[in-house]
Amino acid sequence: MGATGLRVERTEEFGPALATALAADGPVLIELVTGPEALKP
Amino acid sequence: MSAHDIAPMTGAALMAATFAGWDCGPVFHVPGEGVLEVLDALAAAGLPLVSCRHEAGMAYMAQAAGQIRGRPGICLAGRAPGALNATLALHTAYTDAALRTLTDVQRRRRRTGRAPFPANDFAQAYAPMAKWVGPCTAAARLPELLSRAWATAMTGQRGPVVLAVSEDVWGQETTARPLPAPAIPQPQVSDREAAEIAALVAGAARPILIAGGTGWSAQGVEALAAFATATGLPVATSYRHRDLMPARHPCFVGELGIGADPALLRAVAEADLVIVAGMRLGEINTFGAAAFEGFRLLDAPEPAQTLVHIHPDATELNRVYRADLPICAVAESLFPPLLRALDGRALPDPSGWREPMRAAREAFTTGRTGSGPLDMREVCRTLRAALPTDAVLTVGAGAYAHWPQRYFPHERYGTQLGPKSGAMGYGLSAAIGVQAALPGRRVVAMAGDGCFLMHGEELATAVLHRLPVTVVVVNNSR
Repeated sequence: MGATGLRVERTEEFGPALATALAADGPVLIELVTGPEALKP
Repeated sequence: MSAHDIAPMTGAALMAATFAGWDCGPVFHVPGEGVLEVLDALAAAGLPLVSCRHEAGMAYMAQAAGQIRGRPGICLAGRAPGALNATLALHTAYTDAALRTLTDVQRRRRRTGRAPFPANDFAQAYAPMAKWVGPCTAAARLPELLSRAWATAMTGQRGPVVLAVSEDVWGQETTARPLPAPAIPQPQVSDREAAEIAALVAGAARPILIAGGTGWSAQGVEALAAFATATGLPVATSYRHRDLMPARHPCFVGELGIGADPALLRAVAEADLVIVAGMRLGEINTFGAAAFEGFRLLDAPEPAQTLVHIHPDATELNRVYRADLPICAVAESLFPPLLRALDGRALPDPSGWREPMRAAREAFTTGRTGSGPLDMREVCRTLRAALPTDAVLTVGAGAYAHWPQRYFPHERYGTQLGPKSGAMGYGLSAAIGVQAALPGRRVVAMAGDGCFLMHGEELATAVLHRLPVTVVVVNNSR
């Protein structure tokens, strides 16, 4: 579709991915790959 | 000047001029036969157009844009098959008391009743989920019907309306002229009613105020916070309206609904006075808690607590729960007369009742660390720290939404959007709608993988219009 996609697998990767997304001038999708333990708090 | 001196304009131009005069913001649409003439007219009138992939996403966008701006959002769908895609979003707007005007285009009326292709009986299809569905078959009646649509959407319990326009209306010439947006009645809490509430507050040992619903202004939300500061009363909000109170306010004790803190639900059940301001006493905020958490806040039809219910729609009062004091008024009109009525009265100190609730809120929103290599609590905290306080966070429905509900605090009003109906797929479309309506604003959508894929095609809309939304998809690999 032309959007930027980023993949995050560890907590510490999210901050840099978010910074990239917020600096972009178009839509950015960040996929958080979690296990089933992250279903809800 | 007689009608003969006025140059005629087309129905399409008349609708466009009306929407431009009413500051309707972006118009969301799925382009196609039936709406092309009016799209040209809207563009000529200077209204921004957002071209969407699917009518459900389109209608969510219009609803979110309308809700964030406090006025009806507008969307246009052409003909029956596609227009019927908007029904889920219409239902969501109806259950959320959110504003939306949907204009559907019908084929020419003369074929009504002959199973025409591609048409539908919109009045029947939309009736259970819209405040009003009206047909428009003559351009000359557009000023009347658009005024009625706007007034119906904005009056009392806010909600969606549908105008089903016959296709031939766009080209019809008329000397009718656009009208200004209709004034909306704003019923106010009277001094007499405020004095009755003040007496109840003065006699209550365990009072709580629950704020919710739509129709709040920025000033009204400030008045709510100032009222809490002045009286010390604990304030909770309805489901997905926690942005009505600053999270850091010492009187804010949490958000009701699915995923609410059981300690808050217990406190509401134990209260002796519940003042409900603006919230519809529907299942999601009352029985909904029972279905998911094992609590029921209020007994139906007669609550154990003394119940004061303030709502702008008289039909919402005494609907399920008998109110000791039902007041038909705009919620935020409560605070000035109530503060006057309380002035000089000796009030019981509510801190011994409030502080345990506040402590429970603190524990609920900070405790319970995540597990696994990707900790969602830390994700929410990182997100909060990176975003300005006026950033808007949207969610759809799903278990993932519990994470921001607990760990993403809101300090400003108008920064939270989420469906109360359980409709999945809302978040991305809502974020696009808000970003189109408020170009400078930072907007983030959070979605589960299933929720995102319900209307993930709208990512193409964000690309097309270069809308810099950030979409965080929680893919739990299930």
